[in-house]
Amino acid sequence: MLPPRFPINKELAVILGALLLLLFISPVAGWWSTPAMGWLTPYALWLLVILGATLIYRRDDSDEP
Amino acid sequence: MSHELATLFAAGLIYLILLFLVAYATDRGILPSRWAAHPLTYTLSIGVYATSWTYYGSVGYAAHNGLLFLTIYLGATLAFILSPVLLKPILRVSREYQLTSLADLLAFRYRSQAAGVLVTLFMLLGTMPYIALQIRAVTESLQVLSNEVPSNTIALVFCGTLILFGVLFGTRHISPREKHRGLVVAIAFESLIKLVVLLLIGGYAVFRVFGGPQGIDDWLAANPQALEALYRPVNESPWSALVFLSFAAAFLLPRQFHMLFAENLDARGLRTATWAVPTFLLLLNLSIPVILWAGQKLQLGINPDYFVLGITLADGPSWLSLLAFIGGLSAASAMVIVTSIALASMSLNHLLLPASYPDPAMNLYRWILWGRRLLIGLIIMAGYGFYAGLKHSQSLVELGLISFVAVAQFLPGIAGLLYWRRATRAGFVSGLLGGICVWSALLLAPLLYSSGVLITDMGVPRLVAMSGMNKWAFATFATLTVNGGLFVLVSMLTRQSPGENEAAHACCAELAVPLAGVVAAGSANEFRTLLAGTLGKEMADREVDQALNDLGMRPNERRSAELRRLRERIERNLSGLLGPQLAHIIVNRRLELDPEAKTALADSMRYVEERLEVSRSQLRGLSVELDNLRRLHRQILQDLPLGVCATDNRGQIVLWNLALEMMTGVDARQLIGTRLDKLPHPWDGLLAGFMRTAEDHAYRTELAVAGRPRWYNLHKAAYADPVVEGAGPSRPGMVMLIEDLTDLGNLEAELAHNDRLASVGRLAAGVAHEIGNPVTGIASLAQNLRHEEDPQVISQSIEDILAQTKRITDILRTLKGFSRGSRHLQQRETFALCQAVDDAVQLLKLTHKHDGIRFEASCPGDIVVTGNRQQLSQVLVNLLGNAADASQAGDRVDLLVRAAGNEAIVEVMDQGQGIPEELRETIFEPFYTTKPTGQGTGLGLSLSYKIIEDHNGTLTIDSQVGFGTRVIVTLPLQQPEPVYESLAHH
Repeated sequence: MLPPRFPINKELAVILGALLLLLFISPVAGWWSTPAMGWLTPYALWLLVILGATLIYRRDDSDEP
Repeated sequence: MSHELATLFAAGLIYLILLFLVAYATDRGILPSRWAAHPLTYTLSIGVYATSWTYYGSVGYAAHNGLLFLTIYLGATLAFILSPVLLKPILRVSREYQLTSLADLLAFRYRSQAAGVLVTLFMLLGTMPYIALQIRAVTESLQVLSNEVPSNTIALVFCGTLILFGVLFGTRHISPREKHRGLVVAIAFESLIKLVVLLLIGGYAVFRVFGGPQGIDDWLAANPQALEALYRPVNESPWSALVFLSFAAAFLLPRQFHMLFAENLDARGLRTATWAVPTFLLLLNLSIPVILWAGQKLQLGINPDYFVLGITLADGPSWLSLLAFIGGLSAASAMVIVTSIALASMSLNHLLLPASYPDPAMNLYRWILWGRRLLIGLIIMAGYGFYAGLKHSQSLVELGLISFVAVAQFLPGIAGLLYWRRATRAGFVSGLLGGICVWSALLLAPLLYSSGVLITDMGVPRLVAMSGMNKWAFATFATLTVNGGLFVLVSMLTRQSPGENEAAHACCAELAVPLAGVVAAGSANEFRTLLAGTLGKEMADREVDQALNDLGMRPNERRSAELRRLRERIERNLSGLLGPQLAHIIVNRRLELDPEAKTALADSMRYVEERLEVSRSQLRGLSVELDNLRRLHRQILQDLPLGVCATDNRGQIVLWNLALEMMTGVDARQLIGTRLDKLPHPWDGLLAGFMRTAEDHAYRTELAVAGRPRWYNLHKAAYADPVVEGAGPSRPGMVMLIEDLTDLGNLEAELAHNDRLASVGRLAAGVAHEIGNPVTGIASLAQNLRHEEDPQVISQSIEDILAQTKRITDILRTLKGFSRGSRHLQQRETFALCQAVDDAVQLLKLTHKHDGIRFEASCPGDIVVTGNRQQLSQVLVNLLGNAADASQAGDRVDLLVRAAGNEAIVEVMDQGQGIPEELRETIFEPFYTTKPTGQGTGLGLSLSYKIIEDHNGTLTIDSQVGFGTRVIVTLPLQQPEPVYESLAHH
């Protein structure tokens, strides 16, 4: 008997994350978009998103097209 | 401070010459080729996304819309982060089917020339404002730097230079297999220039205008409205529409598609691009707020779009403002070059070639090359016309966003391509047409109205105002709602053609659809002849040769499966040259498929397996488990230490495992799809012959391989169709097992040989005695001869010596024949059984161990058998020896030979104690002996049994305790020829 597999993989996680980001980008923007946060905050958040995606894919050894 | 127009012109010209040199040095191999193939070069070439809109327009957009300028890059970041599920599948399809543009991709998926035409026309229309934007940015930057209005000639020279560059470095190869390395490196170089220059100007603003990072904080503290203006629009405007638009533009804009997919040298570069492109965009935008505030602090009083130039002019060194101009020039030129090359390829494949396909007598390669060159020029000049015809009332960003909304119309089609197999051509075309109509009404018409081309704005501004939405959000929502709605609705209401369905599966890559049909043409040469009618002889020859080379196929290939693959490869290669739809039509017309022929199982199996190998990473859930099971079963068959060969219902080989490869020395890849009778000699006769026989088993079949005899056991069975429920009579093919017995046979022969040597050892004393007697006789005769003078006596003595010598020779010959090496054991001959009987009795008489036993042999001379005489002698020696051992002095051992029907029967009888019932089975086991230690090996009877079995005979024992034992051996009187030999010559 083969072990059951949970049908969520990392690609799906990234798609869901991206959709959530797209849907909630405006409300989330309200949180950090105040002058008190400093002008570099959006860049720092942007960098965090890039780093997060890089971490998710860093062990992706799947075959290339 | 300002610059002379001539100085700026010269600086721009020098920069463009440098660009030419970079591309030239790469193409000529002066720059290392690994630079072109490096993932960072690929990443920087994708940086063509950042045009003069980014370079100049971002500051202007930030001035009016605050941090919303970042949305144009956040959407692109999102597209690259989603690369494994978005860009990677597109790259796979593009590379596999040699699709060089978005129009190719969509025309391929929806199997529609109309789709290709529509995409191309709309792309041309949607991209013209964008090209115009680049030309305008260059001329306006000249105006800012020189305080002079540049003449249209400068714009024309700029366009002319870009045409020259595009023609020289963008059309060096017409096949997508060969990449334009020079172009890629030059575009990457341009991206590097604009990044470095923008960071330099940002640094200049921070340290020179503000006096350091603390200066910015101080200025922002003194001017809180500046930071407020940056953040306020974020909370007032919806981000989603702009993020969405830039997400689509990041891979659908012609230049993006071209650099991402068409010029991709190594698929692994995309993995680096996943993080490197967003990082590049982040760095590019880091300076924008600082440059904006520096411009505000310096109160430049110019359009904020050109603050990048303004702050360097106001208070900077002249080299910096020249550098700023070069940065803008690089951003604009890269966009125009790549876009024109991409659009030229699209226009050629989907407009020019379908409309005016050239005469096959012409050199089609040259025609395509010059067609592309001409189109590059036309497209850039059309962009110039757009620039010259439009009033410059719109900001740079506005022009760019019009193009962004245009390319977003392809998103539904792409979604269908990647994830919705049900999507149809009618759905795509109607959706796109709907989207184009709404786009034209909402965005193009107002643009033309503001430029004076149209006399009415069609009430669009009022409509947008009524919606309460931002102009871009409204346009995005309206166009995509109409487009997507029609796409889904019409797709649900219409049916796909078989071609569409095939392409949908190829794009979605969820299922491997075998190549259906058999090509009517029977060889590669027929392909050439047939294709020459449309492509011309030269091109047909080159394309067939190229396809043969790609597949590593022999020119004389005739296997139907291989020809089907060749046909598909030719179509793919032509797709890269002529577009997928035209290539499909040409190949379908010229290389027709036989409608009656069905695809062989061998072809289907191989195709499915190849597809599974390529797309394994795309399998999910149960498919992965099933694929793992498939691999396990296949591996078990592959690694089975027996040769396994399976054929389909046409007798074509579908499986040829590793053991069989080793056994025959024939590679499975060359065999799959061929018939067994096409195997190399001698395997054709053996396997095809056995396959035709009614027998399911053939034992110890001899075959001469490389001049040496080898022996095989063959077994076969028909396998059931696993797909048909209940299987029943459905038998799609046969499976055959081939067991190589040669090594085992050699081992057995060695064992038998050792047994015989042991027998010889046991005979040694008797042999010495037997030879000693005549030698003694010869010696005394020779001594007597010294003194003998009577010729008669001398003559008699010589005769006696010769007689004694002959006796010795006979003894030695018998011994030698008995103890010959194992390599002779497989040789068969036809001989009188008496000869073997005589040999055996002679040997036994050599030993004096059985001196008290009488050996009585009765053997008619006409009983002839086929077999190995030496081995049969060995059997008789063993049986007579055992009988003698079991007998007492004075007993008799009888050996009777007779014929009964087709059999020769040999009986060896003794008058010994007999064999108890419980030992009758055990005595045939190897190394079992009832004799004292050192007097028997325990192998004699088991070897005798094996030898007789190998001669297709039987060996049985009939014994009664107290009355003696009778061993009965049967042998066939006639041995037929081996089965394979007769079949091999059918």
